[in-house]
Amino acid sequence: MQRLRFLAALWAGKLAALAIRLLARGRGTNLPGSLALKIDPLFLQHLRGTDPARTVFVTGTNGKSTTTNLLAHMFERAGYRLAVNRQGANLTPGIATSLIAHTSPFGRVRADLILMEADERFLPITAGQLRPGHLCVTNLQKDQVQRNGAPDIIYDKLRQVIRRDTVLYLNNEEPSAGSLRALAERTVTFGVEQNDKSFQKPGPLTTTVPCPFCSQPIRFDVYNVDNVGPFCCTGCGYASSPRPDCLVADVDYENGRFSVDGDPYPFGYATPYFLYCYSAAVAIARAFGLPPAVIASACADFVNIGGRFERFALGDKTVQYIRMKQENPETLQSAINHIAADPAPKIVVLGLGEIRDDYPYYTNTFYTYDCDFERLEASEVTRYLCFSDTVCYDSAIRLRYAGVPEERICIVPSNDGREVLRALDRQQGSNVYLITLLRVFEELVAAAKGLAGAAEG
Amino acid sequence: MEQPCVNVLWMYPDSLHLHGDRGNLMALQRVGALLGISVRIRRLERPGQTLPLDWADLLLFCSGELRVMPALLTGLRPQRAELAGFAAQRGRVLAIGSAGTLLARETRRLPPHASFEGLGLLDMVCTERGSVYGDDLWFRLLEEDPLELYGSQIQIVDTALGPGQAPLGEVLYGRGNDGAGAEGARREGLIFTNALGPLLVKNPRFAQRLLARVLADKGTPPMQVPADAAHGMEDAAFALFKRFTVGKEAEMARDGVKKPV
Repeated sequence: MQRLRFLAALWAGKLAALAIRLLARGRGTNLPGSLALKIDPLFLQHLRGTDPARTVFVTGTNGKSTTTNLLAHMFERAGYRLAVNRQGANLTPGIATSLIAHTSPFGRVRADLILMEADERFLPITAGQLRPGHLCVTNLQKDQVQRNGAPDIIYDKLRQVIRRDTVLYLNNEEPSAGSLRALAERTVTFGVEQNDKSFQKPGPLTTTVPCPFCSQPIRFDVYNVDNVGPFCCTGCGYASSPRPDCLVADVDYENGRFSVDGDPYPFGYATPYFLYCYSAAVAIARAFGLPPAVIASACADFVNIGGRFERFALGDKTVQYIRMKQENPETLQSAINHIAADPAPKIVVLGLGEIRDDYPYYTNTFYTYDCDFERLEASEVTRYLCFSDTVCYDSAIRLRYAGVPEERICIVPSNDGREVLRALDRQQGSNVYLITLLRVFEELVAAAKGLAGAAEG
Repeated sequence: MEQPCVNVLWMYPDSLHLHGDRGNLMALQRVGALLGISVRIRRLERPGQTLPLDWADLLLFCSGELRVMPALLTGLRPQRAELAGFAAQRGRVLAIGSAGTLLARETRRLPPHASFEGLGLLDMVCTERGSVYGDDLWFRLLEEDPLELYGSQIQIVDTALGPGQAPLGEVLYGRGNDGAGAEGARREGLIFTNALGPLLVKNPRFAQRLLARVLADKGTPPMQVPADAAHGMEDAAFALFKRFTVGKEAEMARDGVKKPV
């Protein structure tokens, strides 16, 4: 009976996937899996041919999608047949959808390796059905506080999943993720050497993080990305290792090169954020025995899906978009650092909005106070534009606290793309950076096309 | 004439900094400047350090992970009597968000975590929620001059006030302590609120009132009163917030969504 129910779930999922492919291509990364799980709530557990030793989950706050996609590229370059959720549908239904596509009509998974990006909050549910023998934790930081509350809540969820025989791949330089090493017998640590874009956080109002073991302050020698870097606890001495198992070293941003244990690797995404994704992926690929030459070849031509950096034209202006996740200070800080690294005069557009992840929607902007905007203000920003019909003034107030005079901030209390772009068009300067959500960026691109069309017409 | 000053002791900034809380310190400095007050900030870095209560006028505890609270309390318990005396006689203590668990009688945690006793300076019991509740929060202070405050709320624990414990305010929108209409708590110089934002950034007039009262405790009035225009952007932000919040429940009803509790 159980077997029949599973097969019914599988076929329903396959039919749904087929229908979506025919009728609404590009959609439906969750629907087939949702349907299968509705019919058989233990669908993942009932799949045949799964093996924890050949199942890798990538979880954590930031970098899951990039690491998973980079790793998939490496394994495929090495000739692996993969079951992977490339589109980032990382909840249990999304993972089920990906597996349905790689499962025979009789329920056997046809893949050499199951590689899944897994949402950290739902990991106990997913891993309860499909046990990963290999678990990568990219980092555990503040994110989506309306759902996650605080990092320690997510930390507890990960602890539930980790078994003594799980092989862990842990960020050596992020204190919370790194501390999970005590839970498993085999741990592979990955990290990034101090490099040209490493930074300090000066000032009397700077904060770090509490030690996951003793709650005393952690001190970072230097930051490679926000709250990630070589560290030591001021209380119990818990510290990052000076020699993680996989250390991305000799970082050369200009020529797109780094090395691991002397082996050279090219990289196309020259930002500190990506270096940790490269480091995690190289660590896992090496642990599975992939040759350095194959890994390097995959690094060389890797193209990220749903990139963090895009651009579009608006009259004489070039707008460079930097993707961020709201309620996630690390991604906002990375965006700020990226812009601040450009010494040319520039306009910065800040399109924060109310949080619409879950009901009730709400107007949280407090995460902006975890970030340092001062370095942005010190980098030749001629004009700021804050837009949103709910929190534009909050964005402007945050800038004022970073020392930006009010008269250099243009406030547009609207979400209307055309209105925002018209206001932007009135600002002097052609070098524009835009920080906002992907959804808002896409609306602005559509509005820009509309404006260009109207001008031509 | 010497510029009056307020000494702010920033409690455990690396452990209690969950929700952009350092903005509160920035706000105190800015509002202090508008009042002609010098706001001096000292960090108390490590649990167990002696509280410099002779120096401090205002203690600020911000929100943090529940896992750090027992360690902080281990350091605070031996100084409970001094802290109670400080709040009763000459100082102010502001606890925001989950830092309320430090001042509460008890925090009941979900398994596998152990519940813990707080300092019991406010008569309230905190109970860890099974799910996080995040929303806007808008409330009115229960004072003669009833200022309206607002912010966000990330509720990890619900708070029940004891029978003799006064709330800080009444909820106009949001959950407050436990959804029953009361927000925060106050006793003598102790104030607890669930409002994040950062609270003092979003509500500069509350920061102004807090600093003025600290100075009054010391027998020194502020040197100047800021013009309303100094808070123009904050007032505009509050106006957008009100419009959004008022429309929010209608939007949820339209979308057929029941408000989570």
